[in-house]
Amino acid sequence: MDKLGAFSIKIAEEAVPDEVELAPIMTQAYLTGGREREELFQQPGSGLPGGFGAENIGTVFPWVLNGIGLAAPAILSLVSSGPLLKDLLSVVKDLISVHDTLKRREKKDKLPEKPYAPLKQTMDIISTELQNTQLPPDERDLIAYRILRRLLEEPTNAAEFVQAVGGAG
Amino acid sequence: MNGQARQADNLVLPPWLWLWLLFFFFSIPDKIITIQTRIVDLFSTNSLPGEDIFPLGILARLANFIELLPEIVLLLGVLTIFLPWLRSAYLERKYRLSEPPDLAALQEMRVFLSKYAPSLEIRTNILRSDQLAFVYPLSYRKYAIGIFAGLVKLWRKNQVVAQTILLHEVAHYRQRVGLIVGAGSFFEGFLRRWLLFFISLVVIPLLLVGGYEAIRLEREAATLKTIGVSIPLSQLVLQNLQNAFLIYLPGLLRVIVSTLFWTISIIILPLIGLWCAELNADRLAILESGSPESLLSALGIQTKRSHPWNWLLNWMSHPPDRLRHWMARHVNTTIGMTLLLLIFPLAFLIRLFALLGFSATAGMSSDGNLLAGIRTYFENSSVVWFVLLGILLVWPLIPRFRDRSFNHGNRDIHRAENRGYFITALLVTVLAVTGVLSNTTRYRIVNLPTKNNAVEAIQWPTGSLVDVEWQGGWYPAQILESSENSFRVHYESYDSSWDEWVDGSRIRARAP
Repeated sequence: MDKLGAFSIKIAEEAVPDEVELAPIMTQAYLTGGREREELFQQPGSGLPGGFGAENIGTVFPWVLNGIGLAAPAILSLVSSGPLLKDLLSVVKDLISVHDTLKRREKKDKLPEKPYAPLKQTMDIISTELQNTQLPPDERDLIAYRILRRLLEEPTNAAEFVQAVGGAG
Repeated sequence: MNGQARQADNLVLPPWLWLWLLFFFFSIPDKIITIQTRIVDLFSTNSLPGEDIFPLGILARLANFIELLPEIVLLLGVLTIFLPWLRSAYLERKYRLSEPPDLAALQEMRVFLSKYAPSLEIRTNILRSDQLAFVYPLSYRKYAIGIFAGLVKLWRKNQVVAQTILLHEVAHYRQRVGLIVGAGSFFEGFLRRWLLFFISLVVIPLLLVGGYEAIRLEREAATLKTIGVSIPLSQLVLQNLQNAFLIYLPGLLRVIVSTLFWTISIIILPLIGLWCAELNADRLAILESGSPESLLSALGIQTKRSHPWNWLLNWMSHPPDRLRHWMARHVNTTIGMTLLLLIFPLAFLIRLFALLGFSATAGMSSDGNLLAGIRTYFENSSVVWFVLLGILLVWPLIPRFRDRSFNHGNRDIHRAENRGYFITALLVTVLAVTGVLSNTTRYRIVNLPTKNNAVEAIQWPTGSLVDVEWQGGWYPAQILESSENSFRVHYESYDSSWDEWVDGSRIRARAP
């Protein structure tokens, strides 16, 4: 498996563990573009052939990739922030540890623009993109933070991954 | 799972869809006559009754096409049964299904499926999640299951539910109904697009006719004004409103309702056959998994409100959700089994009501004599009732299915199934006897010597094109056979369920 595929698994582990196996293939399809990428976003309607339900069956990882692609400039500025990385990571971990959604949002909004603007922007973009899934708001926020944590933990791999995904978008 | 994987065919219900297909084949000659008549009407250079009243009245002919469409689609759908490779090529291209990649989840699914359907091939598209899984034919004997990203996800999220869904698909494979219906079949494609056809071919043309008429009236008023005759605006508006509410809207409503009845009368049997296949597949999944909970869990996800159109479309390929829930909860009971067995025979009664509704709304039954229509239907369908009865009596006795499919090692289920078959057979017997009694009554009436048939008996040769009196009106028909002074006739443009024996006094030479 190539480096991008391996890193996609790490992102999927943070975001949607049920889709870990699918992540490398989905990432490859996303990077290929065209019909392959379109298929990733063919999500269930209100009913499926087979008559079984659709809720929670739609895949989330394509929207994660889309979110990362849209937030690529902000993420790249975060992962290349050198000495600030440690602080950014601890802020994200701190936000994840807050269990109440409203308090977490409040805490995030109170962060000063400098140097946290890219962090807040990344968080908002990914969370907004996940609105296309059937995930509840609280879970969307948490997934966005967990992705951010993983990106900040491995800045070199993250930069390569984000550049590829952002460039494909 | 109870671990009692069975590799043989596992059938609970009689193969109703195959039986419908058999009936369908027998009715093909009549269907061709119907299609021919409607095509002749559609392209006739002569004005059809009513259409010469309005300048664009010819557009109303398209409504004939909407009545023709279900027949053509069913015929084409049946033809695709003989071309399974065509359907598999279409489905594999549409859904980009291919050999599965090397994923652990897919390998686990393969192991699971091999216990129940070892020869079922697997194709996948793990990029899209708008589908879960479906079975489709590759050839007459070979089938494949298409698996999508959503099911791979579900396999990791809730494996028991995912297994239940696979078992449901395995049941379809075992029933071999995928050749007739299912993903990519003409039948479902038509049902899903019927409203679109209806709006394009009936509603829009009729609105155009109405709109044109309104413009024409205004132009006439303007012309009259130029020669000094002035029509007050209020009178013009009133005239248009009268036309709209007394002519166009009632006409449109009548066409909509009669077309609806006609379509129901044609699609109800295969549709209910399809529902039975789905309920049967649910039943197999429940019996194999040992409890209805996982199936209910898979179905339960769908209880949230969806768009009414999607809700209706789901009905076109699957039974109503509530019915599936109820059946799942009563799978081992006598009442559940009886209802499961009774649904298909009941479809013949629904068809009767649809035909009666059609005749009433299409202007065929002027005096509202429903009894005559019901009697004719029972006369003509008595063979069907006896075939259904025969199947209900013989099917549970076939040892192959009884041993491997009916008891599932559970005496309660076995008893419920036996009772279900017995009660259903009893009810179908009542319907079959009703048909026979209708015939007897008719013969008694026809054979009464009357002055009319004693003096004026004309021996119409088979194949003669005549007019036949039916409830006060004369309808074009063809003589199919004769016996003394009674003749079996087929009404042109109506399917064979309307064929009946009539005495000579109701027949006259066709008006030139």
